[in-house]
Amino acid sequence: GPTEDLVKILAGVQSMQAGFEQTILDRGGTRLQQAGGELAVARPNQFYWHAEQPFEQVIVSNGQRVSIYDVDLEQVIERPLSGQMGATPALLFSGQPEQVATEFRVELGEQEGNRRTFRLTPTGEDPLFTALEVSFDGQAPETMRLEDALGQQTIIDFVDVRLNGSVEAALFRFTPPAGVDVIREDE
Amino acid sequence: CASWRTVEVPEHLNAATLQHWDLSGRLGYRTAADGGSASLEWRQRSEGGQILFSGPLGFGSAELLWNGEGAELRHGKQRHQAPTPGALAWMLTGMDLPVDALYYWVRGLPFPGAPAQLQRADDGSVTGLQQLGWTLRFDRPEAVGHLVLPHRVRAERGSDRFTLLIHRWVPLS
Repeated sequence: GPTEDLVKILAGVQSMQAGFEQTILDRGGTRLQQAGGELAVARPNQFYWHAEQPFEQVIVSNGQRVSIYDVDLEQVIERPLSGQMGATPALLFSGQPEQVATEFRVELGEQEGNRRTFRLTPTGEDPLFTALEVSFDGQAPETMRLEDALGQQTIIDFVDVRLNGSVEAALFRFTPPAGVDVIREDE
Repeated sequence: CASWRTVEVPEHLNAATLQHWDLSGRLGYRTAADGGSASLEWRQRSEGGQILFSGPLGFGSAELLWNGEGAELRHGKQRHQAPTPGALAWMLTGMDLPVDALYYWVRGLPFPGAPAQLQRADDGSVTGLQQLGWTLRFDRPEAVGHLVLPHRVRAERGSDRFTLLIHRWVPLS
C-alpha cells in the first residue's frame, strides 16, 4: 500500500542535496513570504538548511541536537532534536523510514507517470502541522507542502536534487560564530 | 480666530500619521530561561491589530489578534483570551511584550501613555528611548513612501531582550 511505497522510496535516500524555494501562504492564500536557499540531508537525522532571503537563517542538526542560527538577529537557539518526525519534516528524509508508518497515516494522492504524491496526516495529538504532502518524481523529492493547525501553508519546491552523493560530515556540525547570543535549551 | 500655522514637521515625525499598515519581518526574543525567533506579519487596522507568527521552517504558526474589546491568541488548537495583547504575548514568548507600546515603538515613536527619555540623531530622528523599564535602540532607517522608518528595533529590559527586524512596510493610511 502507500505506506510501504513511501517507506521504500525513503529507504532509498541515504543522502540528499538540493536547492529549495519556500513560500508561506496564510490561510486565505495570501503569500506571506518567499525564501530560498540550500539544503542537505543525511542519515541518521542530520540536516543542513540554509535560507538566504528574506532573512538569512541556518538550521543544522547533527543527529542529536539542532541549532537554529538567525544571522541578522545574531542569535542561535540550540535544542535537542525531538525524536518524532512530526516535529520537523526535514527528518522525513533523514529519519528512520519505518517511523513514517507509526507517525503518519499515509494516503496516495495524484499519480502521473512516475510522479507520485503522498498525503501524510500526523497521528500524534497536537502536531505542529496537520497535513504534509510530498511529491516525488521517481525517487527524487520534488515538492513538500505543509499545512498547520491555523491553515497556514508552507510550500517547499526542491530544485537540482542530488541523491545519495557523498556529503561531508562537517556540514552537519555547527559552531556559533563569536559574539552571537547562544540560547541552549535542554528540555 | 484660529490662525493656521504651517509647522514644518521633520520627515520622521510624520510616522505618527501612519496608523494602519502591513508589516513583515522577523522577531528574535530572549529571556533568562528561553529564547526563540519567528517570522512575523503585522496587520494593523483601525478596528484592531493582528500579528501572525510562524516558526523557523514556516509551520507551527500562532496568531495574536486584538481590538477595542480584548485580545485572543490562537496557537495550534488552543485559543486564549485576555483584555490586552501584551498578556497573551507572554504566553507565546515567555516575555511580557508590551504590544500596546510596540504599536508606537515599531515606528520609532515613544508610547504616549508613559514618560520617556529620548535620544535623537542630528536630523532629530529618535535613535533610542527609555520607557516602561525598556531601553530601545532604533536603526537601519529606510524610506517608506514619504516617511523614514527604522527597520531594526532592539529592546532590553533586565534579562529580557527582543529584536524586531522589518523586511517590508506597507503603509495603509
